[in-house]
Amino acid sequence: MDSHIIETKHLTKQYGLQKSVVDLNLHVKKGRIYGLLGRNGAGKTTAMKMLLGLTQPTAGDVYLFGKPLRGNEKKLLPRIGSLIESPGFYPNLTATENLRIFAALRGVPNRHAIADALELVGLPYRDKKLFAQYSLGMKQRLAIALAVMHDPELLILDEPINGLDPIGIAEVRAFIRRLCDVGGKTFLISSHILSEIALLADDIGIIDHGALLEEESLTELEQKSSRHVCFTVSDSAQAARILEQSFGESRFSIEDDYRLRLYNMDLPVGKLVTGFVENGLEVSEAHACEESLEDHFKRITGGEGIA
Amino acid sequence: MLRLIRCEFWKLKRKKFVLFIIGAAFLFPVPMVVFAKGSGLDFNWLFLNTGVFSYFLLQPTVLGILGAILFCTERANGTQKNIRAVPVSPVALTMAKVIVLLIFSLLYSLAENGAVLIGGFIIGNVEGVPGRLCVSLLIGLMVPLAILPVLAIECLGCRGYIFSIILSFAYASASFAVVFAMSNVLSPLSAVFRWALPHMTDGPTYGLDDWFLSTPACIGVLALTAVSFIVLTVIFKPRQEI
Repeated sequence: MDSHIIETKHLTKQYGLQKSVVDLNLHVKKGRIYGLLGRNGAGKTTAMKMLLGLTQPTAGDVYLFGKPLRGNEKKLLPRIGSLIESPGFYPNLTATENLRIFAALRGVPNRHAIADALELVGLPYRDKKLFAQYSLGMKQRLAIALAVMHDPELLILDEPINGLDPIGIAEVRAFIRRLCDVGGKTFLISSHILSEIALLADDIGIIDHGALLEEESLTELEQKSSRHVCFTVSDSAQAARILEQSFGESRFSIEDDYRLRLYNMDLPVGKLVTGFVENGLEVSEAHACEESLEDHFKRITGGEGIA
Repeated sequence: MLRLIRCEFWKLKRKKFVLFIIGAAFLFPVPMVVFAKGSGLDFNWLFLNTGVFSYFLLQPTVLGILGAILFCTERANGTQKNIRAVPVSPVALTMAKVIVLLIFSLLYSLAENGAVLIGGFIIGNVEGVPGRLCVSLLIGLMVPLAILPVLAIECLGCRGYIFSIILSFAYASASFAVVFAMSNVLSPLSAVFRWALPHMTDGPTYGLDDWFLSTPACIGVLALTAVSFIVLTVIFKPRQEI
């Protein structure tokens, strides 16, 4: 648990009869960018709200920095920067005035923290423009500035690129990467845009209808979704044993009782089929497959929606 | 707490209603001075009649609206999540907002008192200034406590500005009507009214001494109101989800 900055155990949130988050077990490692990917309404924001204590879980527990959130809010929350849903600021104040309020509430000791945070997101310091006059992209930048202003160890960002133009997206992506690689910060980022998560995240969790369907590193996912040989046999478990014992191959995954995927494309398929048949297995199908990350996500979430 | 109070004042920057509060303190004194000057009435009449309308009809309404601005601003602007993530206790935040209201109430009382004093100089006789100032400031302290039921609804319900304006005016008007009907029906605001009336005039009390409220009774009503507000806030405010 020590290496996990965020860990949830069977986290569940139910509104009436509707379950927004179901038995969620998240594991966010220190110094990594974790991308929580899911369609709109999948439960990403509700999960993040529970991580910040903004919403009380119906069941389950949240552990931050190895400690339970419940009862430790005053110690743990100051170590986190967050952006949840749309940017929330006072419309009658400027960006600097808005940040000054939150700097005062947080007791930020660094006198240059506000100017530094605004500079980081490319907004002017002590500008006269009121928040009400900001574009959506500028509001989003200000929300990111608020999240990083107090130099937190962990950043929880809900759809951080919402409303940003392509250059803004690239800038935010670059500074998140820099804060992670150079600053050692840990990020939990949610998005419904697969390409964005694929470009940024080290680890990915796929959430759908409130449930975490998959939690793996990007490398593992890429491997899963790369070229492979699909076998349909009479017993996939026995086929797996044959692959290990007779061919010394471990790069495969069992899909169900009959189907098996082999990720090593160098092994001759004919030899493998012969091996299976000689060991009493029936082989009804063997063919090369190729699946993109997008195909993989569509398959496991059961349809369209994340692109 | 001081930090929270300072932040609440920052949030009100460029809000024109804040200036209106001080301006409203002059709303009743001006016509009353004109009437008193024309009718040859004295400073005692001016202080009492201006105060009755200004302190017990306008001040609770204006403070109720300011309360709505203060209590609904986080929900209306989506800043609640940022504040809770700091973390700031919702109970402490609520108390800071009540203290800001208290400060504005005192400023209103001072402005109203200043306006009446200027009016007194215009009509030609000014007397008992220190005593009247004390009464004004005490009313300024008591009125925010007396409107805590309205603030509780605003704080826990937050149903928007229009609702809050109607609610504040209805509460002030109802309490005002109850006092003018010499009814024994007691609201926190009518309790302050019934306590303040004999202290606002040097004139006769027309045998109403038993109907006026004593200082301990008035403080008791306000203390009960304050405790109820705190209990409701402590129980319900932290449970509000964002």
